[in-house]
Amino acid sequence: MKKETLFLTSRQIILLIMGLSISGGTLILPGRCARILGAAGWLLVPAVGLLFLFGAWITARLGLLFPGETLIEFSRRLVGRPLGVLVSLVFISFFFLILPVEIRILQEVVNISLLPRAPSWFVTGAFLLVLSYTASVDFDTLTQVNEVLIEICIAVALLVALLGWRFFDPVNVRPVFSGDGRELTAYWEEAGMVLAFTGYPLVLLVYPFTRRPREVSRATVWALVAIVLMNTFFVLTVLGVFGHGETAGQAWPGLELAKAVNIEVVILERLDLILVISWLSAIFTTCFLAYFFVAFGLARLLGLRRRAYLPWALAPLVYYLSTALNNYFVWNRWLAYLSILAVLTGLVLPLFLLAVALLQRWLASPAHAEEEKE
Amino acid sequence: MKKRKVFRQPKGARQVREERKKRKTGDNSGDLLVPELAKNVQYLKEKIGQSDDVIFREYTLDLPDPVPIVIVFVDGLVAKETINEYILQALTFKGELNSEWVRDKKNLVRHIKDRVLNINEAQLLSNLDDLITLVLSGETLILFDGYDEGLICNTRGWAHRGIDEPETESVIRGPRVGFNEILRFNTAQIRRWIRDPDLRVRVLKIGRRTKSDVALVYLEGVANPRVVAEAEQRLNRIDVDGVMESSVLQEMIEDRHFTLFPTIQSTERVDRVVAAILEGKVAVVTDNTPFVLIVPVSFWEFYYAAEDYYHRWPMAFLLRFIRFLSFFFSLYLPSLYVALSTYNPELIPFTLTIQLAGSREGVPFPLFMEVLLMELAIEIIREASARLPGPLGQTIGIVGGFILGDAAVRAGLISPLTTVVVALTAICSFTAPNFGMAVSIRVLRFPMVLVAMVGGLYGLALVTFILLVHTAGIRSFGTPFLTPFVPLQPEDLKDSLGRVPFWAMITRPRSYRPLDLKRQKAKAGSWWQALSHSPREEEKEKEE
Repeated sequence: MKKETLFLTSRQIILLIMGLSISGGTLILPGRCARILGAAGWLLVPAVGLLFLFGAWITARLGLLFPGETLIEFSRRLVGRPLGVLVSLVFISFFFLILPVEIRILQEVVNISLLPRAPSWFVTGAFLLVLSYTASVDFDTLTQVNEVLIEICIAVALLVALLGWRFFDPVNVRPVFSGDGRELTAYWEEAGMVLAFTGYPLVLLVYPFTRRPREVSRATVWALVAIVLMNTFFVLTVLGVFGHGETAGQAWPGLELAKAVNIEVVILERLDLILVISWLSAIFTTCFLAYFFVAFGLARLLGLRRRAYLPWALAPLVYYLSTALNNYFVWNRWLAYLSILAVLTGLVLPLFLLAVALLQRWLASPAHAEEEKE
Repeated sequence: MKKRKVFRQPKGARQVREERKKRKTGDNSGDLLVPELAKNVQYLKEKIGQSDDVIFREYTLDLPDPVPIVIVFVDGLVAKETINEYILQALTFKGELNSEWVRDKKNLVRHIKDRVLNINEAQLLSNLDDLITLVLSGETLILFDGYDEGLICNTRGWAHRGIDEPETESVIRGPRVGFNEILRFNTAQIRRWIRDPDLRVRVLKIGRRTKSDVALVYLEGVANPRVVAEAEQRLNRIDVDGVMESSVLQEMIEDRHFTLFPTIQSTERVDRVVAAILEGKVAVVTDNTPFVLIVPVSFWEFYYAAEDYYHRWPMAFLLRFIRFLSFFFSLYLPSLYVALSTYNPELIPFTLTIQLAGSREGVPFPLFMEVLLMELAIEIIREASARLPGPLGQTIGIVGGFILGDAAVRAGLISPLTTVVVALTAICSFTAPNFGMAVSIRVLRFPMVLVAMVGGLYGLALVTFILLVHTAGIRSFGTPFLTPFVPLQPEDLKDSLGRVPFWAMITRPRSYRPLDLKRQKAKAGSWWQALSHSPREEEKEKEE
């Protein structure tokens, strides 16, 4: 039977955006917030979230103007072929560069919690093989898998956070700016936190697969609201449990929270591994989605009919890049660069494209023609 | 692959001309009867007469102008009493034959069919290939000298098994009837349950040599016509020499061939097929097998038993929960045991770790090898007990499972804990109501143990991702395999991990896209109805 195209629902779009945004970075987000604003770090999440909420709204508005097309097609029409291709490449590069960063996080998490002595080639290689196989699936499968995994991750994360409230101390999160007066250059190191909010540009690639474009734009905004709320709750809990000093010093505050809330059970001694394993799913969904959209975007850009082999072709490059991030400082610098790209794809480029699109529409409108005549 | 025509096409003018010419010249090289009886008989003898079980009975109709006839049938496939009493005896009944119509020679065969024979199913045919197929299916052919049409009578009658309770799907409560090997009995059983004029039974012939009857059974107006058309098209596309069992069809019409999971359900139970048809699914009944195929199907349905609907709903919840838990154990338990013991013993409670270490002392094999060997042994015992006759099979099960296992533990070849894990896994795998799915899970266990040995919990997580992506990509006749969970179909959750009471099952499962969504009329103003059918949703559906 010819596979029917199942149109994406609003719920699936929300989960797609959450799937790309919620990832390994969430585990280190409380540490970053604590380092920037100290005890009031949790307020940083809604503040930054508000900024990207604006970006999400702009992106949704932009997509709504071209409901039957992806960014790859309409950008060429809007700003001309060379610039359009460049814009598309910026978006594709953003999705692509997420991969080595996330794979590096995965390697760390696996080495810390599951396989302490496992060589990096094994952890990265096995993951890339799985990723290359899974990223060659179709759109329906992608959304369905994301639907299951991200819901499990969110549920586990919320459970851990809720259990953490047993040790919550409100004094730890008093909203007084208690930053330690870091220099502006030091904040640059924490720029990676914006990646927790910037999954929404993917909607510019999914509009043709939706039945009601207006719902997509609403879903985009709702997705970001959900992400902001979830991250705020998580950061607030971690800061409330450990205090900003301890949190700022931890490499993986999220994992530390899971260890702190451990409940001894009969079958398993430690329950924090459940969070770790479910967080592997979060990293997997992020990489899975990013890899899929890289292949999808490249196939559209190059006019390829089949894209199943693209993930396999790109795998060596991803492997090389992930091994290039050989220490924390390189990885963090990389994250900062990626954050610039995230701001570009999440705020600057959508705003620019929207402005161009509206301008073109206005120029093409009869009212403008009359004005010209006059 | 040779493409078969889906619909019967009208004959072209050229073909009609050629057929006429053949008839006139008495050329029998084609596939039509000619007026010369001797030529027809010779043709049939060349084709099927070499076998001793094909009988050619020569006879003469004692009319004023005698007409030689030949009766052709296959011994063993026909009911001889029917031929003797209702064909031969009827043909020799002079009173009728002396009547007025006898003189209308042109329509003699038609008159015999309409006025003489006491057979409930008779037809005139001239295509020799069709006639041969029907004779080989147990029907009786009467050829008349001077006529280019043969009279084919339904005289099928052969030894068959009665209606028994299916051994593979027995229940504590519920009907104890199963299908048997006769297609007509099977379709009649379905008809006996569903007395609806909309029940359709469409018979196709599949197999170049076996020419097996395959019936598509569905409810018109309920089943999705696209699914019906697709099933028919896939069946028509099959060009194979023989269909031994419905599993042959199953492999040929399933959506994805390279998967361990069955995507078509097979069952021996009549009630199960009837329930599926009522839900808007399509049943494929094959001659010579009691196993009926049902399409489309979701993964979870392989863990539903017919009995779930005969016990009260809270009980059904419990039964399904146990089955799904068993599914999880049967897939993951040995590999989790290997992963935790090898890489993450800190996760296991301390006392259990001590026990584990103590029990493994002196065991010569590494843990994964121990588990693999035990799994293999269990499979061998299961296979041996399945092949042996009933009581002997049970004995092998006891000897293999109990005595051999105990001896192996005492000899220090395996640890007691591994025996417990493997035995528990084996028992869990037997709770799956569908044998095909149980086997798939059993096959998966072996690579999973290997992965657990190499990659521990990380490896198991990766395998789970692969399995999830793989199963999410599977379709069963257009229906996502993991529905109603993925993609989420909230209304179909009423019959998934558990089931709600019957009065709350107002709609048929939406996942199968039935034409008629309503299964029952809810009480006016019922809160449940309001929950199942929101006006907004109806509006949306209309829009779509």
